[in-house]
Amino acid sequence: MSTFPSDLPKDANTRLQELENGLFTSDLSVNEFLLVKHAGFHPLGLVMGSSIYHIGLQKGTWKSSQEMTKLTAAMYNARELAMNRMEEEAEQLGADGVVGVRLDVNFYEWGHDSAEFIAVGTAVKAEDGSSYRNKLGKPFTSDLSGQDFWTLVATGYMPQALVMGTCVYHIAHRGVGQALGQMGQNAELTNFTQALYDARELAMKRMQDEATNVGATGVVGMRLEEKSHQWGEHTIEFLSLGTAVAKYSPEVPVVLPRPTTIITFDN
Amino acid sequence: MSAPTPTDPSSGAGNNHFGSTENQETNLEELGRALGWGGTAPNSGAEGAMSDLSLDEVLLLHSAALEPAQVVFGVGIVSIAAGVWTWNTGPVDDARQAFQSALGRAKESIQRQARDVGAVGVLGLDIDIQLSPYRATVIATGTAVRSLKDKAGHPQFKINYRSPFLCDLSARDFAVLSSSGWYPLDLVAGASYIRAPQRGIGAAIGQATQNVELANYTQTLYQAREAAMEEMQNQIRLAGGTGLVDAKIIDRPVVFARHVVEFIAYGTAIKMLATEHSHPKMEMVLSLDDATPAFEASSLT
Repeated sequence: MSTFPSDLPKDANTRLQELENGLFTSDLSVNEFLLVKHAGFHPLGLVMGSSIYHIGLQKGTWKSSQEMTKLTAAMYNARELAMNRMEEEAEQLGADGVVGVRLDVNFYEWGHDSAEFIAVGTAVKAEDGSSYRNKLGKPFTSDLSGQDFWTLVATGYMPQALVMGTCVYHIAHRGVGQALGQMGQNAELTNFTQALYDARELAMKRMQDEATNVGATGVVGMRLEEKSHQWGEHTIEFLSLGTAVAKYSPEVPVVLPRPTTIITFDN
Repeated sequence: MSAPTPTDPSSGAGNNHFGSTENQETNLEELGRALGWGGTAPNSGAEGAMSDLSLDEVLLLHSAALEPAQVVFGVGIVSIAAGVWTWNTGPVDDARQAFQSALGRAKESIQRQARDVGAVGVLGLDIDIQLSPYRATVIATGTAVRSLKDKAGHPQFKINYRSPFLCDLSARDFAVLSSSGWYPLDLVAGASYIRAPQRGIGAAIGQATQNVELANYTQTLYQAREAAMEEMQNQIRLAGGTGLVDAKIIDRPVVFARHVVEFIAYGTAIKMLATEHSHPKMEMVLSLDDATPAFEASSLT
């Protein structure tokens, strides 16, 4: 048995030991389960990572647009902790990767200014015995569904890592003079536009850097989420998430069959 | 319960009952049987079927040599001792035991009803869990299914269960799963209730402006999770299963005691009963309907 990673709480250890004996658990649907099997992988177990994190205080200046670096750091750090613990669980199971990862943030009543960051997914291992870990030697992670995973693998690509970039940004309020001056007019609110642009670019750039780090050639299933959590409406977190992918073998031909076109009679 | 979607690759091939004209007559006959019409019922003497399955699902079941027998229903209500929802730290074991025995009772009464109608198992179990300060309630509803019989009166469903299986998979999921060689065994669940520790005022003030992980809370949630998941895994093993798909996870603060975290994981224990896993035959389809995405990545979050 592999040595137990020091960061994992000890309760996780006993459960994972059982999973090493061939039992598997998974929150994949039946369809996804069969598709993952079809792609040549077997589920090993539900893996999760969690961290309850106290987010520090930082007040934005009323009139200036700026990144809230302390809050950005908190969102990054807490997600990293959760993701790393999930990866450690996968590592302990000897997995090649984790599919169907969900990242959630829960705010509980009892923890003021604190939130729970969770990462949950299903660890999988190739049935042919070869390793599909990413360039860093770690299990790949991916938020793709079983269906998307099957399609991706069928075209010769493998997920490398779930990559993310985040940026918490304070957007300046309009001055009274400016607001009065623009009243009744058609005008672009350039400072708002500019602030949203900057924040989004920062988040996406950070995500791309993570993808480059694992040697990916692209990011699929990317999405951009904007949430203001508990900070009031002028402080927004921009989170971009996606699965970095790379071709695992240049020789694998793309063998997707020609689709049959159908028209359904359903509504 | 999810109805088969038109673009779903696994539901179309092989089981297409409406597709070709030469099958239409048998289809109608089958449909009639499914609805309990006429004198051609496969289990002669049996009552008409009662089920909450859709027509598609009934036809899919027939392809797996099963037919709906009856809607079954079970309730378990177990009391919880007074005074367990305190501010002490640690697990609320009483609540966990109450939940487990409530679920056990609901399952028992469902299995009894299933046995009474000669069913091999119960599909599409819907589990409703309610917790109040003084009791745990579990309500379960599902459809008991029995084997179709051939002309000589022998059951066509080949798997021999000692007692009726229980599963929360839809008839559609059951059909797909069994055609790959996997069969459901039992509905298994793990639960745990853990009180979150209180943060000292000193610590709260000291950390007010900082980014820090609250290690004791993290530990509490881990404990809750791992205890429940381990209990679920034990039950899978007891049921003789080798895996579990479609795990459902309930993770929330208890409504009347917000400092207690409720964590429940449940799902269907499954086992490979064929000699080997057989992959479903797949066909790529491209729907020419106006775009309604069959799957959206964002729906996962």
